[in-house]
Amino acid sequence: MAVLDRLVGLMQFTSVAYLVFLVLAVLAYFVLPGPRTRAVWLLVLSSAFYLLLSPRSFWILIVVTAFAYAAGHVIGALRTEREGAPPRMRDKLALGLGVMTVAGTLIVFKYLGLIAEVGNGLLQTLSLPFSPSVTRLLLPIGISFWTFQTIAYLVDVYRGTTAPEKNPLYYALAVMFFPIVTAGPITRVQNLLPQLRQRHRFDYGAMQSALLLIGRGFFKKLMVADRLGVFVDTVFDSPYDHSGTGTGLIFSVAALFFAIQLYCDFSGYTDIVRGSARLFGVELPVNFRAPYFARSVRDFWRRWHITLMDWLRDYVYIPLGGNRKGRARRVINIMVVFLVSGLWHGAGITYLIWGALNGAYLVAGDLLAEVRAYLVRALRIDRASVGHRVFQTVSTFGLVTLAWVFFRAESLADAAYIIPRMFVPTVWIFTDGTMLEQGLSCAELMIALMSAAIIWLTDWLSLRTDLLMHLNRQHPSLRWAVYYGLILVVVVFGHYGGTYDAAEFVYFRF
Amino acid sequence: MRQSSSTSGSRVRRLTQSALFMAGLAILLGVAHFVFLPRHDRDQLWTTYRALPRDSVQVLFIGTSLIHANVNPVMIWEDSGIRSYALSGSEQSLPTTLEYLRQALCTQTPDVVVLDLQMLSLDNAILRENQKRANFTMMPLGLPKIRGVISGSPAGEWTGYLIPLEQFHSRWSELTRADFDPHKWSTLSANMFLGYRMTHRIEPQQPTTDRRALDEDVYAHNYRYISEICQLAEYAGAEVLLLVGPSSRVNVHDEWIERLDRDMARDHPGAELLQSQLSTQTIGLDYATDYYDQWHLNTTGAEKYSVWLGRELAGSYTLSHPQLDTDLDAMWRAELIRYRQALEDQ
Repeated sequence: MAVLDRLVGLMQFTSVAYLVFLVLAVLAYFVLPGPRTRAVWLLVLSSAFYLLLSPRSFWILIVVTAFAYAAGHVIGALRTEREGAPPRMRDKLALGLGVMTVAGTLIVFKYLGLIAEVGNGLLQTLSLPFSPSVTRLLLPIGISFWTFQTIAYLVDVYRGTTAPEKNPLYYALAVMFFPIVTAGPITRVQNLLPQLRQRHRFDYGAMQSALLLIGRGFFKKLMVADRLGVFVDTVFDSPYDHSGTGTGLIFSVAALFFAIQLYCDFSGYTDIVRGSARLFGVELPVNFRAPYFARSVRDFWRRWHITLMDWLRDYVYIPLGGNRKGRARRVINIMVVFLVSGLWHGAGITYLIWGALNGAYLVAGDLLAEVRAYLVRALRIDRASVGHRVFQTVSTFGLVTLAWVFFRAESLADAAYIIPRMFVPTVWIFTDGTMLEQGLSCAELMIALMSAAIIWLTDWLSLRTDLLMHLNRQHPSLRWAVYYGLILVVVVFGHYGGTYDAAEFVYFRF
Repeated sequence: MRQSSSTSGSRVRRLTQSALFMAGLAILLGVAHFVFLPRHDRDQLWTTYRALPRDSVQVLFIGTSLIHANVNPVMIWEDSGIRSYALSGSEQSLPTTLEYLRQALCTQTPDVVVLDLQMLSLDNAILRENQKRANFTMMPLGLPKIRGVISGSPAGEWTGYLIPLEQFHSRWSELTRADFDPHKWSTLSANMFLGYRMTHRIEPQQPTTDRRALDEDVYAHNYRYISEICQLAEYAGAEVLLLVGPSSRVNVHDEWIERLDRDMARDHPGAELLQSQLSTQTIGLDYATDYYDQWHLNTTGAEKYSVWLGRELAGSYTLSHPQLDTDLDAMWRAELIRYRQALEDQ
């Protein structure tokens, strides 16, 4: 364990060590014969990868995976006894036990501290002389992701939409596959298994597109996310330092930068892991589809963290009745989904409010649909006009960014302090040097903003064409120039290495 | 058949393309490496050492800046005819010094290894990051470097030490035209002579002693590496001399030295201890004129000290190839001429 503890920190997705690991892993993968040997190799790699990230919580992942494998078999066996018949009480009990055990693991490790705090607060309010102390447990990396994936598997087995996996090797690999184990995308086991069983041939085109995807991820994370993160941290970690100096607008800038940072961080991570998986012939689901081009909050949630929203739709919203049980129930269901989403992101009141606010946006959007339609008609607004579309996109982005303040703020008091000040028009912050007092030099800020503009442009283009495919069709000299340019820009201007404090991916905390 | 040959042709074409692409990338990153690596006087420490004729070094000095600031191999050679080299790094930890020695023994078989004891009482945890980085960066890539990096830094920093571009790419904002001049990448520094770094500044000193009580943990950790250095040197057929430098501020307290002396007599009876801080008057060092700070000697101080040290070594050890051999001594002779020229230029 001491040796493993010494190695913690080596395997970051944006490190040279990870690239070396990936190259060696891919080379060995295609040298090995047969899918089964390759699966063993991937499982060994995945275990080593998780051990290097979080050696002390590896056993939790193993236990949960083993339990889910066994539970899947029990549930599957019960359901096949009476195929087609409605589920009996013991079928439901088996599923309930399985899901509660997996969810219980998540609750114990992630929410016990919060529950204890709330409980202690209540006991204090009631002036009871009893105050249980609960130690916050070390949060296993990726627990929110692999528990959700496991729950989906158990429910799907129960529903009969997937058969329980017979081979424990393949099942373990589907849960522990190193590109997804830390922060998703939340991939359904039944989508992964056939791909893991298949014998993949070395495909030059797939390798090329995978490497480009990884390169794009590095660009997003190292050029934009980690750089803007310095500015965002300076403002959000100590908001009161910015009081009384007439710098209210700095909070708006920081919130805007956080919106960009979070997108580049999480979508950058997703690009890297999707590219990594593609190197082994595994196609992971898309998690982002140019979300800041959304024209409504509902549209935004169809484009942002798609795999989580799909999960919430399939395993929370629809089982609750979805939109089939009247308007009031639909409103409640939406709010439940977003409250669960908020809590899933973090055990804190700010995440809960963030979720509630997004739910409220959707509910308000629904309730005001007719009013908006009336206004559009009355003001003779052309819905297809560029102006209207820009207005919708900008207003959606504004609403989402406002909600991000709760997501990023250290406490509710901080958020309450920041939000009113965001709208104080202290425009002089752009000329009096305030912008350059937030941890980034002018050059660093310029690099971050120019890189963000490039990402914005490529996102916009990606709505019209498959950019990577388009690039692959170009003359080699042009392609190579792009590749070399991308690599050199990231190597030279990237926010990594000894003099920078490399930040872990934001979603690793969840 | 035709299809199979066209498939294999396409595979060969793609493999060639990939190889060409990787070669181009290697060249690009190689140029970036040279541009971004900061230029220091001490960059040539290892390149000069590796350019020495094989097995030509009789005495190898290793340790901290107390070696490369105080010990002038050119003066030692001129006065005593001993071919020596000062292979040290600033604030260099003992684990790193061990790896320096391991690497050094790949091309040289010195008769005596002189280890500076400055680090005996220092905790590795307080070493400055930039010094650690510089010491690792200077080392040629090889097993000793990899071992040194792994034992001397947290896992997250390993690749940064092994691939210096990762550490220094952030210099993009401070690059000047000189950084792009390929001529600068290979020019010998005017201040470096066989590992010795010349400094002319004079700063009068008052002799002081740090009263540092023996810390068992720090001592045990450091002694382990001193012992390993001795073992390695002995294995290579070299004798070991442990040296306390002539600093005006002595931080290796008597208590530490006495303990070390006892342990060395038990574990490495062949190793000697030379406390040069007790001989400053014999050496002729003047606190008013021979130091540039409380630890280090300036050019005149280093000359006096090196002459004294050379004579001590010549009197105590039997060295191989003692006569001036034209081929083996060529480098020392050339460096003496360069050193005299540098003094005149001042």
